[in-house]
Amino acid sequence: MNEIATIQYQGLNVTYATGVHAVRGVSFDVRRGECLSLVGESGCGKTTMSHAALGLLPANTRLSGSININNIDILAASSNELRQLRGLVAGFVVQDPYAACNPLARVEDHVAEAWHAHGMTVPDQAVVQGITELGIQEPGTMIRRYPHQWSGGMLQRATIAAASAHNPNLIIADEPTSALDADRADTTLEALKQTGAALLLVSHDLAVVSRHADRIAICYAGKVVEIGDSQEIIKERRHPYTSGLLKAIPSLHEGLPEPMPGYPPDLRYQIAGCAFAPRCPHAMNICLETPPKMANGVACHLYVEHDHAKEKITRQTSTKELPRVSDRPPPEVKAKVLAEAREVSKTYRQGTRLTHAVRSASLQIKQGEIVGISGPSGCGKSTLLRLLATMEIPDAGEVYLDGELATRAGSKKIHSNLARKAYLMPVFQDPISSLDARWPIWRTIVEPLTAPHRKNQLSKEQSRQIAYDLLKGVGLENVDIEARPAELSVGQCQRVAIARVLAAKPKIIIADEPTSALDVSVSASILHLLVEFIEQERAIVIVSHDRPMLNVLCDRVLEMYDGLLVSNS
Amino acid sequence: MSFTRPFNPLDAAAEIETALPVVKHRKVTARLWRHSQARIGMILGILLLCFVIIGPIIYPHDPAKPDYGNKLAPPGSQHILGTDQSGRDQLARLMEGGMRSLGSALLVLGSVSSAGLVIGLIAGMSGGWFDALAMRLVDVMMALPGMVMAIAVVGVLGPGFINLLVALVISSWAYYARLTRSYVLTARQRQDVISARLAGIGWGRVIFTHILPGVLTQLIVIVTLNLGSMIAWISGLSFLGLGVQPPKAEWGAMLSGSRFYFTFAPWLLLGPAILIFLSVISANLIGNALRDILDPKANE
Repeated sequence: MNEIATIQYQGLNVTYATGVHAVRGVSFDVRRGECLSLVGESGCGKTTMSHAALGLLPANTRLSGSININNIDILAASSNELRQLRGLVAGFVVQDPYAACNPLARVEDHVAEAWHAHGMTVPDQAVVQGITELGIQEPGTMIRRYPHQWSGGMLQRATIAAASAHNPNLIIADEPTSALDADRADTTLEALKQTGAALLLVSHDLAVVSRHADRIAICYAGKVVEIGDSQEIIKERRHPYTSGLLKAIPSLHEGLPEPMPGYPPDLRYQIAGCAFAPRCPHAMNICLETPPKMANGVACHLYVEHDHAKEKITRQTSTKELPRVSDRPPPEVKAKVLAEAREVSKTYRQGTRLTHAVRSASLQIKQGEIVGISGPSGCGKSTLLRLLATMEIPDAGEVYLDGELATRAGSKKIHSNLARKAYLMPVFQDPISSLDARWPIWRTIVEPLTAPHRKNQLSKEQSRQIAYDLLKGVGLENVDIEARPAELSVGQCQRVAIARVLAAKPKIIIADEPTSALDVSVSASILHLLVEFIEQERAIVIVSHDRPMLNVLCDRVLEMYDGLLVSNS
Repeated sequence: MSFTRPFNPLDAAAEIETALPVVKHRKVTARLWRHSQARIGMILGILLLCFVIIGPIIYPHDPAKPDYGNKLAPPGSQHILGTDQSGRDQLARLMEGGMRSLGSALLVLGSVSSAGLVIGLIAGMSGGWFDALAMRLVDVMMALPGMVMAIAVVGVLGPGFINLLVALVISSWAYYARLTRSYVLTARQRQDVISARLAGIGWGRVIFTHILPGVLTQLIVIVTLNLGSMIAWISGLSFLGLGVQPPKAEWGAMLSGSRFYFTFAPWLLLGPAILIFLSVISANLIGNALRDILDPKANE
């Protein structure tokens, strides 16, 4: 590595005022013109690492070690020095371009701010030029518009133009693609690389990043556990965590994604050995005692010759066999139709503007099927689900549940009461808000059983027992059934939501982006829970923008675009 | 701060699985007591309540009995806080007036918030013509300044304490109705509500189990925060002579009556002024703390 590093981290430690030791001795560098991506799940410290490089952490945070950009030590720099650095030497791109822009200012003002912030006047045509270089059509008229008139992918390119206005040596981008649709991610990352600066890219999406980054650093519990050439990392899977992460990603793994057991450690505590050891399938005694040192790009005892203590720990692993998609019997051709939408349309009116959310869509859900619906955001997927659940009445067409007419255009009445008797149950994208924030989770789980049509008389003790059994079924036997949703992680809340669905024993689960708010290893386990639900007489409709996931999970995948449902299996 | 705990390698895997936070669920009153601001507010409130409820029982003087031979007596051994312009015992009047001031503020807020709750709930759940009608009425009520409205209503009904309370209810229910309706409108789209509906729970039960608890906690916070200003309103209107008529005591009316004697009997003004001030402070401290504590997203 004789090239000059643009940014160099050396032994960085970050401890927040809350006592969370978020970054634990991290050293790496990004070389000139190179793209390095920090990849990891939420809470692994990757965002903290990137924010530390521009002095963006809260004032009462304790930092040690050093970060050098152009031979300036960031941790020792004064606020004046930092201000000179930001924008001129190092640009910054945030996750959500709409949140980064003032909705009352035109896009050109946001780009021009890159000069104004340093007291400069904007060079002639510089804004238009910067935007044109990033491939925006008709830049002259576009920059006169406001942020909400731009699409997310385009606006993100405008913030990149602002970040690269002074040709900085380095651009730090914190999850620049996760607020965008999948097909926009590639163009955004291309635009970032096109700026020619060294790129420090923070991302949770290994699949997207592996297509663009030169090198990848895998982060876990505040440390970099593996770093190296991105193609090699994907191919060799040396660190057990990397391998677990890759197995959980549908597009990089054959078959149904495999979940990783356990949870990341609590970063308020000291960790004696390797932080991943408790979850690691290859853990040895030494892993629990000494933290592994980074050697040849991987920090793992498996790749170091030890004289002693190489014996593997035997531990009780769950013997439960994971279901495989291929093991599932194919749905019968003559299977009964559980739900059917015939030529349904739905139009929303906002003032004089009409939005055709669903246009004449027809869909049959048969017993034993997993049906996927994919498409970009705003294509009408969620509306179609609401129509199917008779939560809305279509403007045209009919919906049948279990062969009976449920809703019909022009009739305000709901003809079949099935959808109000737990015939279909929903799983939502945001699990925390799908649970009542005031209720202990056991009450949420047994709520469907208390519906009047079931005529159950459950005592409090019975309910709690049922809730406990269901929680055990979704792998949450260690969670206090009195806990409130805010005390659980997002993934745990999604499991609680699924436990509620299982309690209701519906014929159809309608899942609206059930995994997109979750980390990959967690989402893999959620998919397993959903697949376990499928028996001969049941079905799942799953809506997602994650096409590779749908491809491995579903019997057939339908494409939805601009309200039109296109079948292709 | 750094946390260390013994690390047992053999239990490592199990430990990670159970390393989830264990939170004790305390009752709201207990959590309120642990909140230092709220504790000050609650102690203050309890002292004020003792003063107006127990005080008249143990204090021997009659608040309404004049003693013209002993007018404007300074604080002393016979009358602890002296006497007013008619020779009535000031401390006894403060106790009796406090009952009226605090009690009526609570009464008005109670009726205002329940009226607003019912109207807002029906409007939000039903939509349609009732919603449109109720909300236009709310617009009209909110367009008029509350104090002016109250004065106008008292003007129509005639001065008197009951009329004053009626006027306050009429002029301030609208805000609570609007608040309740907007909460209900978002709550009925909530995902936990949709789940409950699809599971077969009827609207009636959904309202009582999912929607109302949320509305109520919001209203309780608003009511406690408004308690202070309501005490000030009642005192203010009484000060203008629209409320309590003599010889009945009320803090605002007492302020009003004593202002001519301010230069040579300042204790007459200070007593009710300090008590109004303390009541407002107490209510605001408790209200602020409730807002923190009743937020369901906040962990303890």
